[in-house]
Amino acid sequence: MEPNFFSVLSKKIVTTVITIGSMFYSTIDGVNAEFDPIELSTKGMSVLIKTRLDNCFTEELDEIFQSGEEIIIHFYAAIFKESNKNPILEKSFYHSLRYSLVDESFEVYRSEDREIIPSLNILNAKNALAVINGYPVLSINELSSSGLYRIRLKAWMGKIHLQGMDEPLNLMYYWNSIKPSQQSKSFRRDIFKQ
Amino acid sequence: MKIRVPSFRIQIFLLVLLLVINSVLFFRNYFLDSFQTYSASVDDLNTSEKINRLYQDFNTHLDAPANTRFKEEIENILTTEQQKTLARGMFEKELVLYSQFIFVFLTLSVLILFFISFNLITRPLRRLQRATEELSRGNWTVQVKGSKFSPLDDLIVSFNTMAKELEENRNRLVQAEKESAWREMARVLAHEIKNPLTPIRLSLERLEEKFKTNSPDLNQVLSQTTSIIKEETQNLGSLATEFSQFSRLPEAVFAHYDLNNQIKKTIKPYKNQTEVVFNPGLNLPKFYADETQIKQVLANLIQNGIQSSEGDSRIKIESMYLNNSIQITIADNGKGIQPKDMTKIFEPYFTKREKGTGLGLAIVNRIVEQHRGEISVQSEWGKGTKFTLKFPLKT
Repeated sequence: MEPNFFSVLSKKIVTTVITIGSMFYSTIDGVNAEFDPIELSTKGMSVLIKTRLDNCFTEELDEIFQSGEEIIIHFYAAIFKESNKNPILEKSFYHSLRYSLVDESFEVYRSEDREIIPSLNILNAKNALAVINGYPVLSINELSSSGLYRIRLKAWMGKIHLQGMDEPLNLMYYWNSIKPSQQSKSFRRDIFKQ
Repeated sequence: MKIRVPSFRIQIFLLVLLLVINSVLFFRNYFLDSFQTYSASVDDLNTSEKINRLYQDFNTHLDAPANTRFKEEIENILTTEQQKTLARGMFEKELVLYSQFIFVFLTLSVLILFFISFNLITRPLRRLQRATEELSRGNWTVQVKGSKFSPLDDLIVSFNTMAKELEENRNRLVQAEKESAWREMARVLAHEIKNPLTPIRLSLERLEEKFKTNSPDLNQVLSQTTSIIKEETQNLGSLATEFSQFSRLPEAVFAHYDLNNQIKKTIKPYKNQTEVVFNPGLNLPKFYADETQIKQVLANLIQNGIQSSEGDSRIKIESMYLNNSIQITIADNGKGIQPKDMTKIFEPYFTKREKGTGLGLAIVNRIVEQHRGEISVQSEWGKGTKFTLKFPLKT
């Protein structure tokens, strides 16, 4: 059936009202996710970073985690030399989570070490998702002896499509649409010499 | 405690606000309740639980590859179910929030539209009300500003046309009244001038006849004739004075004085002609008025009383201080005024006497008006008339 003028008009008006209203209020109560301070260490010739995302889960996110849909947190690491604006090196990795409704357990995959952690309860699954436990961000050989370096880390979530919803759900709304970001202390190559 | 009743506009506005909020809330609650009932009944189906039970019951009966596939299928179905439930929950939350947006939007829109349309009605009404007041105050040129979006614009156009026509009619009426007044004045003047001319002419004819016949009483007739001519020219003189007074009543010069004393002085000359009784009011405050004009008022009313009496006349005058005003009453025992003439007695040139200009009471009325006072009359035909003058303590 062809939509008549009034149904089109009313849809336009309602959509406008909802759009304007959504600028001030939302159904989603977001949190301000943030990284713990970045710890640097070495393993062989690799420089490893350790940190975790804090305050990054809500009750609603927990419900979404249990939807069976794969949830991915993307990480981005950039290494800067001196006060340059352009990074000398960029790296990306991700953590994903999937819930099995048959087994009633979570499975977390961490791309940095290509590891699948199975049969987790929600608390352990969330912990595995949030922790970066020694990501080899670069090799010591890539650092010059005189340079001063810093590492910046960012995280974000994408959109997921839940069945029964017209529009994909942007998970970043649960982080108030703010990508958590953390920068390491400036360091020199010397600190990694034993 | 005094409760201030809000204006009509605010009352209507509050009423509409209440109605809009009630109706929008009513519909909102109705649809939300319906949706929640539907959600609850869907949840009661426990589909996921049933599917899970199905899997638990049958997975042990399948070989490994079939079981893996069966598990995948079940997983997909359960995921779909779970996501649908989640989506419904989110939709419900959105529904609650968006219905609040719609509620605010509808309420504001209805109120704004109502306010605009209400203004389109009440504003012209207020303008019309003000214009009507102006009209009643005598501003015949008043016109109401039109409002082409208002449903009352036709009424405004009609009002403006009416006001214009009223002004034109009034101007015509004033012109007609002027003409009528001039005609009446001309008639009275002609009549009043003719009255003394007749005895003068008759006396002169008689004198001429006596002179021609060399009558022995010529001297006596001459004396009578000169006396008549003198008297009638005096009458003509007083007539001219009275007309002049009426046409050029001077501005009142106000001053404080003793009214009782003035009344006593004014009635003195009349005591030879008639019985005049004066009851002075006690503790009468100083009267603030034009002494000369008030004397004329008193004299005109006393003379009026004397002239309306046949035989023994009796004039009774009283003064008093009442309700912050000074009152003077002048009553006579004359023949009174006929009811049909009561409304005309203050009109200029209205008189029932043969030798009257009809200006006496008109002058009295003008002086009283100039003093912001009031004059009223009570009369009973055949028994007498009582005039009451009321002057505010300070004009």
